[in-house]
Parts: sequence; structure tokens; C-alpha cells
Amino acid sequence: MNKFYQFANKVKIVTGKDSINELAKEMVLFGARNILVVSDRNIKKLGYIDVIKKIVSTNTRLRINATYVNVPRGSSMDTIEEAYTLFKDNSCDSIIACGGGSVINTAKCLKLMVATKTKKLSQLCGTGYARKQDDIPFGVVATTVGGGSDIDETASIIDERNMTRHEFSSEIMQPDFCILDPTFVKSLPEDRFLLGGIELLINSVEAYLNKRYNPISNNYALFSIKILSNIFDDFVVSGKLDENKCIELQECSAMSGMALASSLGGLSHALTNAICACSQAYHNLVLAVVFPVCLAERLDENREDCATLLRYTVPQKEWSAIDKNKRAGYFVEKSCTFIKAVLEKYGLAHRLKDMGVERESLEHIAELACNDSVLLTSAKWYEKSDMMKILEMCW
Amino acid sequence: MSKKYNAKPLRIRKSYSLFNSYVYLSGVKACYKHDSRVRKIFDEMPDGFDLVIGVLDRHHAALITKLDGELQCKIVVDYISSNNSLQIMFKNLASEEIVLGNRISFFQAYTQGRLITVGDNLLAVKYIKMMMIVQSYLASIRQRKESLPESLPLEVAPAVVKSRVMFRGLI
Repeated sequence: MNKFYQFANKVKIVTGKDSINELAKEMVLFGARNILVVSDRNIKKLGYIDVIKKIVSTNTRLRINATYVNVPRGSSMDTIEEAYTLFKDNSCDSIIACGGGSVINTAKCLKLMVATKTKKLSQLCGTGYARKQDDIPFGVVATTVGGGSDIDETASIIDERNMTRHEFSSEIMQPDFCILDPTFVKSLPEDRFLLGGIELLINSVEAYLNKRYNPISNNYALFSIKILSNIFDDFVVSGKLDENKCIELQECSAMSGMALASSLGGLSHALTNAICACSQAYHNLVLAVVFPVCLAERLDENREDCATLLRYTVPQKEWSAIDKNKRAGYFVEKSCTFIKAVLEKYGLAHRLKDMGVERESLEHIAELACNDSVLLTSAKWYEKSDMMKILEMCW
Repeated sequence: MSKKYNAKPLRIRKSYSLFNSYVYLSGVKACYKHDSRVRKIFDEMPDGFDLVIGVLDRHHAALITKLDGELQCKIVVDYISSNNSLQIMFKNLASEEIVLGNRISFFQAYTQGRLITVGDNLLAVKYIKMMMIVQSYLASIRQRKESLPESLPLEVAPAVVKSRVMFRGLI
């Protein structure tokens, strides 16, 4: 374990049924007046923007000056600069992001630009360098579970002009508060919801196995894994998730987000980022396909940690009945079987070729993955050939 | 941090930092000659691109640049950042001393939040990996065992690179 580490998370989490009603109060508490709402067209269609407008209108101090709903899937630099112009033109002083990963990443970068008084986002590329010159209230209403982007301090943005992906990382980007209301995730189809749950599990496991781990992020990861295994056990028995389980899942989302924000991720995240940059595949689906292979590949390296994780995923009796030397292998097998079963149940692709990833692009993906910052936190040195081996297995 | 470390006067720490930067720059030049991975990274480096390695808000930095296809390594004072550059900066002198003194690896420094990068992050990863390769040659056997990944392969014997660095120092 690291003897020297840094852990920071200043995001206030407001969770529970009807927690959306707290939105106006929180915005006022953080000093907001004129709000820009950032979202996408699907969220607008579902009527969530109207709900936010209605809640904000209950407080006479607040006013929604503009709404930006043109965020595409996979945020881009142009989108953010467009939102920045809208923010400035309408004299806004605060942001509410309502949506999933892309929307939240857009809003985070927008906050970074405003807080550092920079007109060009490309000038802010890098990690931890931006210096705050202005503070703007920023709230998030999460409509998905899984990514943890509502909690962490990083954003991955596509540069369409140069066909590259830029990473931004700064504490300035973190939201001031995040609302996790179960009614806002109800619209998700069951398979997407469950995939979100699997992504949470993967994020937590990777956060625990990562070299960058520290006692604080470890505890978040372990607790999240424990709750998730209970939720999944119930789901396997009953076949559906009730509202309480939804709230628990959202809480897990926050916890695994905090763990991942501190420990960045692992090999499967590096590969998934690279695959998503080269194709239109869904992030959590790719992660679900890549993770079992990566976990099995790194079993020898993480044998002790995997054995510890098993203790949090099976009942005490079952755990003690398993041979000490076989616990790590059992954990890997159990995780892989569960993920495979979910993918098969909903008829989801469980090979990269079924997701539209071309074989010719594997080499490029392997090269991109080798240069992912996530791997800098890995204990092992990965070469392109190692990546190709895993990619071939997933393809 | 030990009391002994804190007791060092700032000018000695600065000189030590300068010396470490010089050794690393010599190491980069030697690895450019002997290690194909380092050579590949610098061959792909565009002309006029600056790679700066230094300490945040300190006056001197190690600058690696490519001019007319030739790699140039030097120590500069008050580097003015350009658009065509990448800066890998240590947060403070203590971090620089620990990393360039090979007590921890560049990877560990990144994971512990001791490094700040300014510029394209994908490029930054490439160059941090390159610095790690250089470090693997310059570190002692004990340091390599303690702080560097076992799976990091060396293409030539570390003595080849070290002797070149020493020779450069002597002249």
C-alpha cells in the first residue's frame, strides 16, 4: 500500500426518494443566481428538464438563463466551446448538469474553462495544472448509474478536428453537489441499468486492485462491492430491482466513483478507453467484455487481493468452506460467470467483433491503450504485444 | 520527511536538483543511442517540439528539443512555455529529489500525485514511460528491485548507459 497518497473528494451527495426537491436549496446555498442547464436531447424528451425548471422556479432567487441540450454521445471540444459561448452570452454564473457521463463531462470542462477564465479548452490539457481564478456553483443530477463521472475529477473529451482524445484532470472540475434521485434512473432499460451495475462492480474491483490504492479509497471500494453482491444476489432470485435497491445502487455508484477517482482504474479501463475511442461501442458493454479477460490474465499478480475480495462477495460460511489457495480463482470464476450470464440473458454482444470493432483496428487500439494514463498506476509494465494478446482474446 | 533533509540549505538542494537533471539528460541521450524504444519515441517527436522536465515554479528545467532532426538536451533557466511543448513538472523540490534520486519510480510519482503535466496527456504518458526506461538504466540494482516493475525489460546492460553518462560528465 502507498505510504504517500492524496485523497480529496468535496462533492456533497444528496440521495434518496424525491431528493431532486433539494436542488433549488443547494444551488442557493452554493451562491447560484443565473443558471445554465446542460443536458442532452433524450433527457429533454423524457421531461427531466421541465422538472428541473419547475423546481428552480420555486425559489425566487434563482433563474434559468439558458438551456444547452446539444451534448452528443461522447463529449467533444466544439460542444464545450459552444456551451461556453452560451454561458457567457447569457450572463450565467452557475451550472446544472442533468444526464449521464457525456453531459457531466461537458459541464465539468465548461466549469474548468469558466473557473480558470480560459477561452480555449485545448490550453487546459493536462493533469492538475489549472489554477482557479473564479468559483462557480455546479450541481449534477445523475440519470445513469455506473460511470462515477458525477464524483470524479477527470473528463475524457474527443477532439473532432484532430481525431484525438484529450484528458483533463483537475480538482476544479468536481461538482459542488450531486443529486441521486431514483426517479431519474427509472427510464433506463433494465439491461442498461444492470450493465451500469456491472460497471460499478468492475470499477470497484479495479480500484481495489490498483497500485494507487489507499486505505480510504479501499474502504469505499470494498463496501461498494459488498452491497453490489447483495443487490445482484437479490436480482438473480427476483429478476427485478425495486426502488430501495435502485437507491442502494446509486449509493454504490457514488462510492465506487470516489474509489476510482482516487485510484484511476486498471488495465481493463485502459483497453476500454482505447476501444471506445476507435468505435461507437458502449463504454460499459465493452468494459463488461474486457474485464473478465483482464482479471483472469492478472490473477497471479493479484492473487492475494482477489482472495480478499471473495470475502466480500460470498457469505462467511461459503467463504470459509473454500480452500485457501483456491479463493482467488473462485472469485475470478464467479465474477466472470455472472457477467457472462447477464450478457447472455439480455442478448448483448459478448465479443468485440459483435460490437462493430474491426480486426484491423486492434493494433491501433493496442497502441492507444499502451499510452493510457491509467496504466501509469499499474504495477506491471505493459507492452503492445500484451495488449494485442488480450484484445485477440476479447475479439 | 526526515529532519536531516529539511536541514539542507535551499541552495544545496537546488544544486543537487541541477545535478540530477543533468545526469538524467545525459541518460536520455545515452538511451537514445542504445534503446530502440527511446529512439522510437524521439524519432516520432515533431521538429521544434519541446519536452520540459522541471519543478513547478522553480527557475531551471531540463529541456529536450528536436531541431532539424537532431535531439538537443540542455538545462534552461526561465522556460517560456510555447504551444508546441509538453511539460512534466514535479510539484516541489522534494518530489524531484526522490524521483531523480531513483528512490521511487516515475510511475509511483504519478500515482502519488507528485507530477503535474501541462499539454496533451497521451503524449505525457508516452514521455513518462520513456523517462521510466531511462530511470531503469540509471537506477542501482537495489533501487530497480524496490521501485521499478519487474516486467520492464532492458535492451542493453545498464553499465553501457551509465558509463556513457559518466564519460559525458567527465568531459
